[in-house]
Amino acid sequence: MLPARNDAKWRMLVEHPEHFTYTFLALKIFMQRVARRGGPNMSAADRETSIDEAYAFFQKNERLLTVDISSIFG
Amino acid sequence: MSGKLRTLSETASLLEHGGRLLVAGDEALLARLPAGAWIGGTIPYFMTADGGQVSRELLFVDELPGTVTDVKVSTYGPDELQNIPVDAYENGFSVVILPATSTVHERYAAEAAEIPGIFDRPVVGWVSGVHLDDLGTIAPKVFAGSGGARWQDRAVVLHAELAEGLLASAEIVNLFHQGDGPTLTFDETGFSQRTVRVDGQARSFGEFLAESGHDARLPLVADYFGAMINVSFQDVPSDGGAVSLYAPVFAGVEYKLAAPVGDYVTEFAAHLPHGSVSPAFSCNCILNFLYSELEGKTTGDIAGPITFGEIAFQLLNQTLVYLKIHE
Repeated sequence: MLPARNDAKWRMLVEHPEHFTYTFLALKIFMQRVARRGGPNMSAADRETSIDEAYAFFQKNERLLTVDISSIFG
Repeated sequence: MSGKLRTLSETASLLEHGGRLLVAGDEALLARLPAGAWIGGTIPYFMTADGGQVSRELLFVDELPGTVTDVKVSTYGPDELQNIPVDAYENGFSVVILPATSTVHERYAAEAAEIPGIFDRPVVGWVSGVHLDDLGTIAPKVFAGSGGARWQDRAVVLHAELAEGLLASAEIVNLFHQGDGPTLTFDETGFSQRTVRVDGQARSFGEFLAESGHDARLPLVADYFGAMINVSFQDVPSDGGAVSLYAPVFAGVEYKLAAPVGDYVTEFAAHLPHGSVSPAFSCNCILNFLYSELEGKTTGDIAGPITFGEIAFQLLNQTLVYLKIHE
């Protein structure tokens, strides 16, 4: 199950995508887009955008992301 | 379900009976297809169940399965690409065909990964081309729903809706992985690069490749969190001029030169996912076709056009792309 949008795990994911491993192709390429925004050095606006995008992405693809959701969010 | 080569009359008959088709072939054949729910692109190279083939007389046709409940065909200019995910069905996928060497091809290559919503549902596709004998004399084209509607400067997209409960995913098979050489980065995003940073030190890209003795058939490879993403070499001038690439490298992304690959067909079989793969669509790169001499050789059960570029969300090179529907 996905954590709520305001859960700190989302910030951890977008600021430190290298801390996780991914299996779903779309997620790998999407996380590369997020990583290009600067990781922990990204602006607050980019961080919020990244969390919004990540949350929406996981919601839309939740059934295909069960392995990744378990791996990332426990 | 995999596509196969069909005659013009067979393809026209499928359309007349309500088929929803993805078509690849010679421009003269595509131009004679009737109006219907189809998109197409020019290319005479195909991977079939009988092996790689070159044909100007047959069309490669993927017929969308009955699990696709609706389709719509759209075209997009270079400034309209951000509308692709906007126009997609909530549950479905989109198949994109771009005409090679066009502005819309270059813009999609550089910008697709940043389009809002592009990753929300599968986007797969390919870059149309021409017979290599016709390079520089005939422009690649794309077609949208009738032989009369063709372009060399717009993307065509078939948006497909899936039945409730079904899902689709974009998948790739890439035989290349990063070699153990230095890390290469670029200051600017682009298809043409004069300067590369080799472990951070700026130097002539062409001179670096020459000194390395690099085989230009082996691409640059970036590691996108485990997904190997290739950028292939188009031209490496011997005079130290700018190196031309078949896809842009991106500023801020780390690349390495690919490690050599053994026999392509053997390696390909080893990289296919376990169990049977019956994709709704697939395509493979003309560079794999040429460098690995695939004419007459088979690559598992996966068949489709051999293309001037592949799309799995963003533009890829030297990669097999396929769409899987999860029933």
